Amino acid sequence: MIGILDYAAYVPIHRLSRAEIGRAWGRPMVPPYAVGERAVANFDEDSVTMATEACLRCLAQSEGQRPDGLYFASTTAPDHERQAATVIAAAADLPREIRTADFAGSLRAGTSALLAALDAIKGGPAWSVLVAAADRRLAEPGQTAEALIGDGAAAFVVGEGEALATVEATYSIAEEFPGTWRQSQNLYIQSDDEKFAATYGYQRILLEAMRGLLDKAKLNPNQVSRVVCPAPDLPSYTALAQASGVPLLFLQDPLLLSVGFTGAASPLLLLATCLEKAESGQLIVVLSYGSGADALLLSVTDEIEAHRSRTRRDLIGHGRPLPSYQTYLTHRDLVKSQHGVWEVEPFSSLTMMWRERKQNLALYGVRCTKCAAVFFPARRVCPTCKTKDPFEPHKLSRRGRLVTFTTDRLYPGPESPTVMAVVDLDGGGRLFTQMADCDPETLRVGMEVELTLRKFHKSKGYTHYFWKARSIGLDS
Amino acid sequence: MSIRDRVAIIGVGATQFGEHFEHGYSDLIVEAAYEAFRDANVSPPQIQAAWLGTCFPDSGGYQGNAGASLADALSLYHAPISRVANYCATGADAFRNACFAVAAGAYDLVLVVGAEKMRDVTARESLVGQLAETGHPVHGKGVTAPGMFALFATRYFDRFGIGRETLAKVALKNHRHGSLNPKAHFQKEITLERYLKAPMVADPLGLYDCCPQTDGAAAAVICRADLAPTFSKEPILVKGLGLANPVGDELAFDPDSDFISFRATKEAAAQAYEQAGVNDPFKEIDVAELHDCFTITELVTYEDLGFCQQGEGRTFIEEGVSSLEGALPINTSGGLKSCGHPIGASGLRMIGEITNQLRGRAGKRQVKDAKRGLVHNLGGLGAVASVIVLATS
Repeated sequence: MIGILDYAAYVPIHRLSRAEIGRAWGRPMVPPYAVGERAVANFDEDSVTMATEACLRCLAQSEGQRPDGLYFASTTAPDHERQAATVIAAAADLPREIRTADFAGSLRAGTSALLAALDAIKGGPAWSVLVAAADRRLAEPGQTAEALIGDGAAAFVVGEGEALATVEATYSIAEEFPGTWRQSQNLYIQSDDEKFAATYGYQRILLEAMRGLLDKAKLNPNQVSRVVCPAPDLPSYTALAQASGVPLLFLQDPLLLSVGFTGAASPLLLLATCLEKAESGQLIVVLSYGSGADALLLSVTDEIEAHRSRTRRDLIGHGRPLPSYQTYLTHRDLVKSQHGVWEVEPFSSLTMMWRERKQNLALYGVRCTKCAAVFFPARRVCPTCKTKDPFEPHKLSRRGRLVTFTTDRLYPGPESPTVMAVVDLDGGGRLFTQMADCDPETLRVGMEVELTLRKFHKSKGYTHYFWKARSIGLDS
Repeated sequence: MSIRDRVAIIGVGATQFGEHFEHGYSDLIVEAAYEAFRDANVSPPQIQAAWLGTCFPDSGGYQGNAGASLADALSLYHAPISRVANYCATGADAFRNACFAVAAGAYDLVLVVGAEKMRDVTARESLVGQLAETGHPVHGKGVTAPGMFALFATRYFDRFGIGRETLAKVALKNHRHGSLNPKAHFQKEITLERYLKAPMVADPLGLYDCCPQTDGAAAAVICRADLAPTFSKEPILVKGLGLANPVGDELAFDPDSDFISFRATKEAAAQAYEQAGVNDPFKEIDVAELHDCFTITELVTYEDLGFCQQGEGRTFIEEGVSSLEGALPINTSGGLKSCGHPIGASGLRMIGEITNQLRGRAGKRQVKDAKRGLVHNLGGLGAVASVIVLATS
């Protein structure tokens, strides 16, 4: 059966309340925009790191099964020319003989990637494909959309096998429609006539796609259990649900109050949360909007129960309040951090970074075949038994314990303070690195941490990713 | 063949330590070297070779990259000059190399100068900037000098149940000693309240746990021990020169690091003690200059040098053993805390302090009957340590 074999999500830990956004602008937001909070990626997160996190969670669940393709979807890939899927594949330690592609240009890039993955499997070149969607969109500070957007990622493994949901039908529409857009050189999304965009774009096109899908599957709406549909804002979503004639199918929480509208990641993230509660035999419609629409009809199988028992992590997490709107602005580099006294550009050699790609991205140390000692970074002569070239690559664990740490207020990083940690990794190897999403008050010698891929700096205009340590269970 | 009693110090010199906005790198070298020439009663043409210790030429207008910088400063073009860099043990290692050249018989009379011009750039741009902008692009990225030693403080606190009040005692002692040193960068005492109220730098280290960014140079003139009496009535003998780098640059990545002691110091001390014939350092050393780049370093170093047992550093400082009036006065100069830490200069300044202590010329901070002294430096995060034992006879 071709279908969904696994899924996971990642939502950054920080939440910015809409009340705080209103406070910062000195004009309380009006209902229905005044309530809830949005997820905010930390200063060292982008769509690549968030997607990597979702992919690693997904792969950890699938017990060593390696996909033979990785598709990445986002409207906010950090680079126009440097494939994000390849960076993620490297960090996930996938073999180099895989298919990779980035999908972009539309908020339905996530489902487009999913459809392309399904086609690749049906067509034969791939057995299973990991599809990751992530977005970290920006609206102009002060605009309502800024409060409604949320940052997040989701990852799905689709392929041939014991699917927890099979794909029964798909339907797509391509329509050039001026809803929201962003020009290459601009940071912020743009829109024009909001009522026109909500009713004549979002509502009309999605209902057409849903009708088209059900007609194709020869189903009537009452045979469907749930519709999964991204919501840019609550009024548009409610109006869509009403106009569908089957509003009860739209009861799936669009996560507007807890996460926000996660752009290209949204249909996948919402599908993931829907599957958390789905039951065998249910039919789910997944809708996705942008430059037209995609629609997929999924049928949940008996495997869903087994999958739920395998996964441990709370999909969304509870999050932690971001201290202020100003912190959001500094996280997005829209204003300079009050701590950042001067800008530094760390040394880099891109030749060196390429040479060390397996060590630094896939996170390999070396293990001495004579005395079993494990080291990171790699070396040639064993400091323990003094043998020359006794080493074999050793995949490091992403879990470990804090040996020691400090909260450094002097380091001129993009945000201060910088928390540094020494971590003993399970199974050997010791890493000295920064901590991510860290509340320094909670740190203790010996506590459990895990490694997460983050942006370090952009020396030579090239984003340098590496691993930071993070307290375990921060988001659950 | 041991280095013991083969080389003698016949003259030392040092600049005022501080922010020398009116003086350049070369000016500092001239002041320190000529003071050492006067002290040794030698003239520059007599110098047969020289060593220059400068660790970070980038902060001082790129001077100090090679021996040529010393030749230019002193117009000392007739002598071969080597530049030495070995992190914060740079000055001590320049001295060590010079001693071995003399002991080998290659030269009879040589000059060693350590100099570092750190305040031609802003304090944050100098060492902090270099650590942020240099080194591996991602490994250990985020580290600063206080951040490195704070890793030790965190672990040491956790292991031995001490807190900042113990580190404060090191800071207060060294500032008190510094108040008696007219060449120190800071010459005033501080109170516990001031220590506690100062901003934190890298937890648990605060402002007064850290040495400042300072300009300075220091020099020594050394010669064959058998020739020393022809220059000086009170030559000081080199008894032991230990240098160790047992973990290299990877201490924080080394699975064996315990973050409560520095193996480099232990190994360098073992070498120097063996050469000098020191069996019980606490009893046999009368005065010592330790590398108190941060207060935690001094505390850990009491233990690593064998002045007390591991975990007893707290008692050692709290009972006043290391104060000027104590059984083993440590950092009578005020240490790096009060004098500041111009990297290449520090080791030679400390050698000068011990030389003057052993010659009875330390003024208000003179330790009575000091016959044998020790100089300790630690570079990188325990990447290299130098231990030097000096004595009157």
